[in-house]
Parts: sequence; C-alpha cells; structure tokens
Amino acid sequence: MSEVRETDRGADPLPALAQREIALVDLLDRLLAGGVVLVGDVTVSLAGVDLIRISLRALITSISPVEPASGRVTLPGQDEGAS
Amino acid sequence: MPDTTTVTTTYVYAVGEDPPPDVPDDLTGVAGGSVRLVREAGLWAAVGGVPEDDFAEDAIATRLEDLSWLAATARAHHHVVDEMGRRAVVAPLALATVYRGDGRVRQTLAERAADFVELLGRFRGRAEWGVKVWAAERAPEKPPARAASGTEYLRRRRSALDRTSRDESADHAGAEELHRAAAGVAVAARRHRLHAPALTGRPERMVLNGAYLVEDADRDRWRAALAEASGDDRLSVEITGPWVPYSFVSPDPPAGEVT
Repeated sequence: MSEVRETDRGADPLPALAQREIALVDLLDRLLAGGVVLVGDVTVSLAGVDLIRISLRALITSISPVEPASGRVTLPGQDEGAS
Repeated sequence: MPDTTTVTTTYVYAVGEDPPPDVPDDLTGVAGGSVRLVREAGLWAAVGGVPEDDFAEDAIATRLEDLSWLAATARAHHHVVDEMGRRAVVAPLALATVYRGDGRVRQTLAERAADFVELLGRFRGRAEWGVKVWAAERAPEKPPARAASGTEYLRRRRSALDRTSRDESADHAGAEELHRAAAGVAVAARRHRLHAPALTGRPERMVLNGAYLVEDADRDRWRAALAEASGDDRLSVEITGPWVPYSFVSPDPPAGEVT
C-alpha cells in the first residue's frame, strides 16, 4: 500500500513520483505515535522511546557528523535571535 | 511452525472485520515469524509468534532503545500491516503489542469489538497521506571579516539576521498554507514533530510534517489542492502514502485545525 513518492517543485508543481524505500523516520513518526493502543500482557512504554533520543543516537553514530558552527564572531548583545 | 501445544508470545499487527482476507503464505513479520489470523466476535487479528525472550517485560524496554532492533521491528511490523491493508480495511496496532497466547488476543477482541468496529468504519474508503515540506538551504552568510569599523560590522550583522528572520517567516507561512490546503480536502489532519537534518538525512530544514486522512475518492482533488498551494520555489514538497491510517486511530480534531 505504501508506495512512497517524492516530488520536487519543478515546472510541474507535483510531477510524477519516484518510488523509494520508506524513510525510517516516517515509519517511526507513525508507529511510535500512532496505532491502536491495547493493554497487552506486556506493557511497553513507548513514550520512553523518544525520537529526540533516537536522533541524538543517530547523530552520535553518524559517520560524518555535522560540523558545529565554530569560529563565529559574536559581539556582546548580538547573539539574540541568531539561533 | 505451529505452536498449538505451548503458550507462546503472540504479537498483534492489525485488526479487521470479517470476512478476513487471505494471508499470503510467504508473509513474515517481526523476528521472521509467519503471520496467521485469530478470529473472534466478527473480527480478525493478524498475529505472529515472537521470541519470548525479546518480548518479556524487562527485555523489551531495553530492546526498543536499540535503534537497529527498533528499526528492524518497525519495518517488519509495517510490512505486515501494509500487506493486510492492501487486502482489507485494517486498524493498525501500536508497535510491540504482545499477548501470552492467542486466547488472550481473542479475549481482547471480544472486549474491544465495539471500538474496533467504530474505528474500522472511520477508515473505510480512506487512506493516510503524509506531506513533508522542506525549506531550501540559504546561501551561507558572508563572513563579517574586514568590516571598516565596529559600527559597520554591527550593521552587516543586523541586516544578515533580519534577512534570516524574513526568510524563516516566509518558509513558515508557506508551510502553513500547504497544511491548510491539504487539511481542507482531508477528513482529518495531524502534525507530526519536525525533525532535524540528523534524523531526516536531508540538509534542508523541515518546516511541515503533516498527516492527512483523505477519502479515496478525493485523492486527485487533494493532490490538486496541494499543487495549487505550492507557490514558493524555496519550498519542496514530499508526499508519502497511501499509508494505513496509523496517525488517525485516536479521535480526530476537526480537519484544518492548526495543531
């Protein structure tokens, strides 16, 4: 059922869609926050599985970590609103 | 592998109403287990056996924090839900719903039959579609080197900040417009959390992560509404679906409500 389709704005705003593998993040959005919650015989707190924690883990284990913004010159009083 | 003689751990994927569809022979789910149906009270549940060790009370909490295990389990769970969803109207269960044996599943189906019938009625003839909107990366700020004076430096810096802030509000407005357009033709709308590039794998900033429950008959109209709202070249739109309506199992806020 889930053909995943991608589109970019081009001349046609929603052009023909290319299939690709479902992104894990799309799945987790739905599986961790959705689905019918029944009280099973083993109660699992999925609230403990937070996407933020997963993203942190992804960051830590990422092969090419994002460079922290370094060397930025900041003058006193000039950093509000910069982030 | 029949497990009629021992009490095993039964993992529940999805529930539907009779008559049940055929389960493909080669359909496998979590832990590579085969999928079968358990029937009760005019309902069927697609279930499979899973290793008791992985799904014991203390083990599962730890397992779910293991990203590779979580990913494999989520994909296996979705695969079964999706395959059953192609064949029937289904209510997807939350990840890792397990019972001690099929008898307990039957008991739960009987107890919750009215809820399932109501939910399945709401899903009939509808599907979930996802819309993610990305804002193009901005040209990097020019380094503020060699400002003629402190005043000049501050002026440049302020103007750069103003520009960033203007771009961000334009992106935000564009995303809101797309959400309104998508929700306008949908039965219900939900917004998932926005994710950082570390999680999405895309350098652009995510500005909308919406889910929309759309009548199958309105599919083209829904896409057309989105296309019409896609005015801003800086934004790119990614549509996913159709999904089994995972995001809509709880009672819906009115479509179009900005949450």
